[in-house]
Amino acid sequence: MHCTDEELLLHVDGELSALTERRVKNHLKSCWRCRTRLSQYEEQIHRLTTRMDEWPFPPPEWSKEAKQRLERRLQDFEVGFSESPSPRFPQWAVRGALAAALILCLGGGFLWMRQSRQLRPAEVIAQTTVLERTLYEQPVHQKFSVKIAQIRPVAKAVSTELEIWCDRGSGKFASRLSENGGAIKHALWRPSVDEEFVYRPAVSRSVIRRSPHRETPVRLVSLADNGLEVEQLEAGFMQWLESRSWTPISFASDISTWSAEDGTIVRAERVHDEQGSPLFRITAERKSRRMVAVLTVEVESHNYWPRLQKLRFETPEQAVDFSLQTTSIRPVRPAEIASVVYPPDLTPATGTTAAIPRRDEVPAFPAQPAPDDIDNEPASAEIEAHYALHKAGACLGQAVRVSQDSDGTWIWKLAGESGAQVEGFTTPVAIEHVLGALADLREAPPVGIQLPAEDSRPLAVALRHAWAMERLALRFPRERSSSMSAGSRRLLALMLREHAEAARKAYSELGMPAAARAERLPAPPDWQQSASDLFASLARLQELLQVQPASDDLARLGRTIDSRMQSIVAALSREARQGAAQRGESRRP
Amino acid sequence: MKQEDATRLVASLFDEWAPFLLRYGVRMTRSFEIADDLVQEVFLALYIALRKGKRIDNLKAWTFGALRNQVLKHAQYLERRAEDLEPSEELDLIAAQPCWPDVAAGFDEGAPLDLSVLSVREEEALLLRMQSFKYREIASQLGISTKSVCTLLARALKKLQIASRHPELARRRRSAWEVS
Repeated sequence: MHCTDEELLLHVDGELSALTERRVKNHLKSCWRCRTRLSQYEEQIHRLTTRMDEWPFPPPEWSKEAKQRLERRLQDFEVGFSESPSPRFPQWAVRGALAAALILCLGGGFLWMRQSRQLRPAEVIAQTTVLERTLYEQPVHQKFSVKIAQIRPVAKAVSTELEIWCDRGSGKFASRLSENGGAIKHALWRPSVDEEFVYRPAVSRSVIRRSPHRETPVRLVSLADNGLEVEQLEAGFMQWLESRSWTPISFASDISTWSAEDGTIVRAERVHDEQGSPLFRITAERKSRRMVAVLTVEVESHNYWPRLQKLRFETPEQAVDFSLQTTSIRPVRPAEIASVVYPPDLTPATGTTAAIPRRDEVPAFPAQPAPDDIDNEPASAEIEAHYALHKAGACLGQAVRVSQDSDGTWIWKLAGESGAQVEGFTTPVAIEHVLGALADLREAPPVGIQLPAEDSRPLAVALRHAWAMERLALRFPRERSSSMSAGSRRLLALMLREHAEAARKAYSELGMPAAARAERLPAPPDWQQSASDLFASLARLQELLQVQPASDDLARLGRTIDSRMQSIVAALSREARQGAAQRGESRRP
Repeated sequence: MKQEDATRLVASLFDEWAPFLLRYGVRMTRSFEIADDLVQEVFLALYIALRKGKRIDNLKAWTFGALRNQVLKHAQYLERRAEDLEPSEELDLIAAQPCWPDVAAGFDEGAPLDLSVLSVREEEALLLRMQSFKYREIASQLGISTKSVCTLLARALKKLQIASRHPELARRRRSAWEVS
């Protein structure tokens, strides 16, 4: 077989493998044709090389000139170049060091990533604690679905619903455990610090007043003290509820108490719920001779919102799950709490003691507040409407627009001249109440007193606030305000306090003399009178300042004003105490 | 490497390889001016590398590789420029190029005519082979296999044989190549 062109070329260039080389050589010895082709190749190469050598390009003068140019550039380079004085490491050493550094970096990074990916239970608990503390500082309503499920020996479950209202500021608290059908299984409420009521139909058909408890809270693990039957566990849960110190249920505090004890194994992991949203799950396991108890808390991974608290008790014979699933946690208005947590009607069952009531007594239990409840009480709705407008600043002359949609009644603040809606909020109060309150606010002050909203001089500001208080006093005279519900009174006090403080602040900017303690004027009988006095004094002050800036009357007026401002809120709270005392007397036989 | 050693080495290498590198550069960039610049850059880079103590195992391969990289960079630069420039500006650029007209003319006049019948790849391989590059080195420079180098060279020689027998064919091929 003849040689290919490639083989001939490789043979010429000496690039053939030994075996092929021998074969090609043997072939060439015997084959004229291939030898001819080979010689043609060699001739071609020879010609090409000769021609290349004869090629006058580039001319010698270029080579010379280019070399000179290069030498200049090399010298230029040397000017800025300084040889490193330190001995150079051999290349292999530099490469080795680099590789080692890279491995260290990668290893470190990997470890760091593992470290950062690792979820620390303490951190999750701390974050949840912070969130819950913030949430529960204000009045709050919690709703949980409670499930007690026995897994061994027989599978059975009881589902109930737990609702808790709590206002830490006023000490009000209510909790209610009810069947899904609505029947109440257990209820607790505390209208004020020294009044506590329990309703537990399984024990007593009537509400029981109990003395303020000071006992230490039952620990979660004690839920199982009565036994691991579903009913026993539920009874344990009710005891636990009663022993708690009138606070919202806090998953974080439960698990931190639980995990702080010796021998508890705490783990944290990332999980997903059925909808696929990521959760953090903290599991704290405790073993005793009798049983294994595992407390699990799940919080949302992005904001640590508490989702689930589950307690599992396991013995060789029995296993039971107790879980609290968060349905809703929302802040509420103090008024709503007030309407839930009121003193129940405690007609004693037997006439001697409330502790042993008649079984057929109709339980007096606070119903869940419906928004309508608030509207049913005329003064309450009116106060709510006034409060909503107060929040918008309408009582000081801020222009507002009132509208209604499915969300409730909207109150929009309007910008000064353009009349554009700046910001708005909704209130559950019916629009007619808001419009009624708005009409009240339009009432003009007595003749001779001007209250332009844009006047920002201290006296004008103080006068505007005083007029707002005077208007409230006119609208809610003593006979109305004394019969108000606690929630309404609270809103009224809130408005009055804000106005009084603002008026005082503005007044203090005037630099008028304050009332000395010795010559404090006798307080008027009620806040309405104080407000009226205050407004009249301020109006008189304005008048005097315009007519005769230096007068004896000024000092007297100053004392009146200062003293009235102090007495308004004090009078209102005095009234509230009196009202509560009267009601308490009338209800007790 | 010390300054004197590096200067001496680079000077000797320049004498030996600069003409070849310049020819190669002109063939690839179609511009004497640019090829001249690139050759300067390559030798300067070689000098800097030597002065900084970089270890170069195969000086010839390194130098040719550096030039080839420079040529490719230049081609990319031209491509980008072509995108930025209006057609009229491109014409200006071309007109401004030659400043060594006699030298540039020498390239065309005295060149072995046969080379023009080759494809760029074939020519590259052939030029490298004529500079005594081994097949393996050519392959690594061009980024192809040794077998392909052999094929390219064989084909190039075949074409040159035909061209030497029929010069008019070579001339026609050449003009076609330049147009393309």
